[in-house]
Amino acid sequence: MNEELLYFFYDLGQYLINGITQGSIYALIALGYTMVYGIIKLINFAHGEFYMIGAFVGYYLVISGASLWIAFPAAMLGAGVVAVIIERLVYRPIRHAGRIAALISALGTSLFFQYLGQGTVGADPKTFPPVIEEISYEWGEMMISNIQIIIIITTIVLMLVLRWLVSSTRIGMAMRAVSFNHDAAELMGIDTNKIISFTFFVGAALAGAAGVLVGLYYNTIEPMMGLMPGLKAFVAAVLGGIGIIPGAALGGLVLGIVENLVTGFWASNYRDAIAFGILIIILLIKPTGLMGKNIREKV
Amino acid sequence: MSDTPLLTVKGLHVHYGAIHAIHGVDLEIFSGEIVTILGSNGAGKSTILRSISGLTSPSAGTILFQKQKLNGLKANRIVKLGISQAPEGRLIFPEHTVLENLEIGAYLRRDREEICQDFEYVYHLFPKLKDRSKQPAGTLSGGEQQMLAIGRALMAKPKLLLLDEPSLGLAPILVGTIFKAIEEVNRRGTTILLVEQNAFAALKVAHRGYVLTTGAVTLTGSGDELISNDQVKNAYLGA
Ligand SMILES: Nc1ncnc2c1ncn2[C@@H]1O[C@H](COP(=O)(O)OP(=O)(O)O)[C@@H](O)[C@H]1O
Ligand SMILES: [Mg+2]
Repeated sequence: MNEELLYFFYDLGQYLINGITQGSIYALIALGYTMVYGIIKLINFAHGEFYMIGAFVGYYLVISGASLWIAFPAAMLGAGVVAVIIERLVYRPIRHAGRIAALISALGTSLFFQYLGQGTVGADPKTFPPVIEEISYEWGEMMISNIQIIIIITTIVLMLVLRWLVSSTRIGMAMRAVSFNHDAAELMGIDTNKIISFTFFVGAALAGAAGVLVGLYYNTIEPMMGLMPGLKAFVAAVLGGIGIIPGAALGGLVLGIVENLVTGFWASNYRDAIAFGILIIILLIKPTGLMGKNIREKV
Repeated sequence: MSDTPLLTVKGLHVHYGAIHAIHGVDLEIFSGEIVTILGSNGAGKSTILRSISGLTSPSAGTILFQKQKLNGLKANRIVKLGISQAPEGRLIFPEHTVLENLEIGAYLRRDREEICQDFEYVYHLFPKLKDRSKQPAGTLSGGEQQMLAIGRALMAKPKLLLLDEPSLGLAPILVGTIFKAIEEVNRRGTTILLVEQNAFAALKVAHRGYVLTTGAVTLTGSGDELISNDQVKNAYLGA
């Protein structure tokens, strides 16, 4: 084979590996965005902060000697509990106050956590201890690390659990009912407030998981770390079709891959601009997203 | 029929912002009855059902169900007390299958065996639902969706069933099917409050009725009395 072509494929493979890893993180965060949107039509711009909180819960447990088997689920739990409290204190009182009020509250909550983080743990990045010794596997010029494999597998497992939860359990059935119509769900005896709390919990727990995985991957965390991934996960959710759970997974993956391909082959300075380019394109071409149905006929 | 009503609505007022939708409605429904509320579009029929179910909070008045005050209770609690509703617009869950819709109807129940019997009961009332049980409910025809909405409300095993315009938009033959089912449900012991614009169909099955005009009751009587009343004839029976 032509050597240049061979290297092209090595590069392509490497960008795909990195893209899938990064895309897994986006997907985990995007799931919460889309679930919360699906159930109360709120774009929770504070969602990236749950990811940050998860990373810090994981960090403090790990540096105080806890194993990842403890720190990881605890980070999910911590992020989830914070989200439930925020929903109760911030979003529930203004649930019927309109979209602008909700949006402003979400942005305020986001800033609140960013500054709370800077005020308490400091703005400097912290080094997430390399609790998993990094091992790289090479194939030609391509490399994949054990941590990348862990991120990808963990993401797949969490998504399968989520799919089971939403499609095959009683509470999942209730979540889908509430996301269709709150009144209809209440008329079935479903306590919509409880289901909404639970949805915030699950979405934030997934973001918290992503926070720890990123700590392991990049080894550094800081209070502003939720900002950019949060925005990109929002783009991923819109890309897949906001409110559609498999869409968020797909959107995250596509965004991670496109980002790595474009920066790798073409414009390495524009990493952060790509997501927003995609957002503009999708809103122009297919605002319902990749998996969005065209507006259903009302019966 | 016992002496104390199953449901009593007293002095009900409902506001939507500045709109005074219900002004001072009194209703009584006794165990075992089919009671209908007739009224044209915008009269306030759905608002009354929504208030009973706890989806809308009245600005004044009391709603008593088996001596328990329903005011202030959340809708899901009222279902638990024994009132379920097939709401206006049906609001079936379009992406859930027919079977899942019925399962959600039984959301609060744990009595598995009786739930199974009630599935059979609903399928007996509406055999079409059984044929379509694995289909997403959004693919059903309008008539089938109405059957599903009623079946789903029955899965809660209600003492009082609220039906909001079940005949709306349906061909006459389907209206017949639905009203036959309503009578059978009532014969099996469920009390029914039926809201309708189709006065003819409603009065054929109802024991008693109330006529609602812009938020107030203007006439009340037995089904037979109302069906031969001139006001009702002119307004609803096209006479
Ligand atoms: N959500 C709402 N907001 C404002 N006004 C409403 C709302 N729902 C109903 N109304 C008004 O209240 C009155 C009664 O409506 P409704 O109970 O739906 O009547 P019906 O079911 O008899 O057609 C109407 O004037 C209607 O416009
Ligand atoms: Mg109505």
